[in-house]
Amino acid sequence: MPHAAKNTELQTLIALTAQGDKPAFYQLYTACSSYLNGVAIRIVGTEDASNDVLQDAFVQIWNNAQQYNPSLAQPLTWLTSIVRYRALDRLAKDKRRAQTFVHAEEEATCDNGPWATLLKEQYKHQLHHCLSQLNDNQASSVKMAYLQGYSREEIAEHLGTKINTVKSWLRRAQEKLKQCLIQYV
Amino acid sequence: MLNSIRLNQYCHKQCNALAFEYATGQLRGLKKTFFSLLLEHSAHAQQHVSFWQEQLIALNASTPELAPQTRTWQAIAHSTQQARTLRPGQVSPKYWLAPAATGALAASIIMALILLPLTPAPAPKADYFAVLSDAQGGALVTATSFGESKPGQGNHLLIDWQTLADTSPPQPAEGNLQLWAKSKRDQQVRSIAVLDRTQMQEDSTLVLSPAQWRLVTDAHSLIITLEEAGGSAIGEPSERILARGPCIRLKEALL
Amino acid sequence: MRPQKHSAVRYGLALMLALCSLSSHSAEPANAVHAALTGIRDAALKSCIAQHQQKHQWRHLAQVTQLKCHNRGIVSLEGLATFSALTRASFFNNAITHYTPTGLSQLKHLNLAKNPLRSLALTHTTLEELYIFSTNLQTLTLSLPAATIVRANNNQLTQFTYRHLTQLKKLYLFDNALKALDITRLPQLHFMDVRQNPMPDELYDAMDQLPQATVLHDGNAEDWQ
Repeated sequence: MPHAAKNTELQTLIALTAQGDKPAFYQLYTACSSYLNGVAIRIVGTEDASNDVLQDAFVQIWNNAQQYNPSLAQPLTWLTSIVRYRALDRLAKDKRRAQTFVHAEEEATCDNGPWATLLKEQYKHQLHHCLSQLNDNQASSVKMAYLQGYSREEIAEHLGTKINTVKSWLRRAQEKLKQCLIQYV
Repeated sequence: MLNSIRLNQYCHKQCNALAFEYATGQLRGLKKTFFSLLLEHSAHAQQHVSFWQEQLIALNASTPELAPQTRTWQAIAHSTQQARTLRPGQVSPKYWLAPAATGALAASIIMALILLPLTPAPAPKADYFAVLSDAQGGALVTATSFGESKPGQGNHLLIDWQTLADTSPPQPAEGNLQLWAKSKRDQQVRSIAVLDRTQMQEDSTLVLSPAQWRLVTDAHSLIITLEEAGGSAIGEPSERILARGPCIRLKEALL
Repeated sequence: MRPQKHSAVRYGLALMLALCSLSSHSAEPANAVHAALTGIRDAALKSCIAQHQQKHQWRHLAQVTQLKCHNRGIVSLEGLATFSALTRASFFNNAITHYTPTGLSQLKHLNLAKNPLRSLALTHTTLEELYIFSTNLQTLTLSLPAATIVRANNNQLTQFTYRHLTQLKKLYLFDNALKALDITRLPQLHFMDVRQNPMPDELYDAMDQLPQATVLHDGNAEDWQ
């Protein structure tokens, strides 16, 4: 299914969910939960915690579906953001990380279902191109932060450097990425 | 209105960096709470966050899927059993399902909608906010106060040094930095706190006594000066002013 | 002739005064400051004065009019009274727990702020400025007929009494624990900050009646929002 059709499908499911359509809500869950659970577990580190996050996120999706506006965010971005911020909240609440560190690059070759394919189709080229303009440390810092919810302190620890250095890497990465990505918008 | 303009000016200078930090999960604690508050009221901030969310999601193309546990859906179904009714201010999906109606939505409402996924867990609300600039007008420090979030935990003042990428906050070889409040009531300048070395780090949080909190609530502006060790000996700021800026009560600024 | 006589008398008086002055200095040891230092027990205070002596080349006690010893870890001011010509003495941010010097008859400015004082009773006829903020003061008794400013904010004062504060213009008592304050004998008072003290409304009413004085108190505070 082309990504436009997938987006439309998700938008429709969210719209129906907003109207209180429980079968549509379940269909939305069925369609995305594995992908979103994968997003969550990379941040919170354990399956129990990721399922808790998923639960909280879908309750929030149910309650806030009326407020989703497709002109402002792609449906998968909206759903993913909810899960990521809930996962980060969970991480902050637990104040500890259960998972062992896995370098983001090591999983880059996985093919992970329809949503990953959609993401690749939709964005991967431009982000990949812009990330390639960063040096390794800058790119790794961004990935660790976004994918695994690592704090600057944790990134510094894993990359064996100072927190201020990580801060500089992230700041420069942000500037370079913005400069590069803006041409695609 | 002036205060809102100041917030937007602040956002213009800082929002892209803060939005990136927010979207990548780098913003933590009170700083995150402050930015969340800004997000609720600043279209600029919302646009910056949306940009980064839309772009960075592609990183998840390499994220392995993981089927959820059976109990998860059961718990969700249980939690969503009650019929939902529209709350005031919420928009029925029929509006955005019907393109003609979509245009009828006020821009301010639209911008508010995108924020819901960004809304953090309940956290203390910011009360006062100040951007302290150096003599050249560059933002050097933001100070955000937070009212007592839980009984007995006291008020907080988050001091965030807006340093350039490779510089650290000023560290006087001798002496201390001192934070002052200029009273909007009698224009006198009073000491809030002498900042020790740890409070001159990138982000630091002062736990405020009721007396210190009062000085913040009465502040027309905040000032940071370089003083001798231990602070000003006469209880008045020196002429070595590092940064100063107006203190804004957010409740009023965001009306 | 009379003018000549007068001239001779004037000359004689001048000579006598000069001799008196000389004998007064010659009554001091060759280096009076150095000698006075031996009476200072506190090593940190002694070190501070010695540094000033070296810097300013003090030899006579009359030269020691100003002393600034901040952040030195001074615990005691014992022996300071010897420096009777002091007009300004500043001991900000030390570890002084008691202040008892007498004989500083020319002192105009005294700073004991940020010292762990618990109680202070001070009588000075010449003192104009007193800085005692951010200490642990619980009781304060003053008799300072020349004082124009007293900064005693951010303490734990439960009791503040005075005999003579007739010239006092500014009084800072913000953030203390005062329940009462005699405001009836401060005729020159222009400004007083007594916010953050558990005072009764009746006292606030009385403060509002003070002529020509701006008083910040919790009864009229607008910053409680």
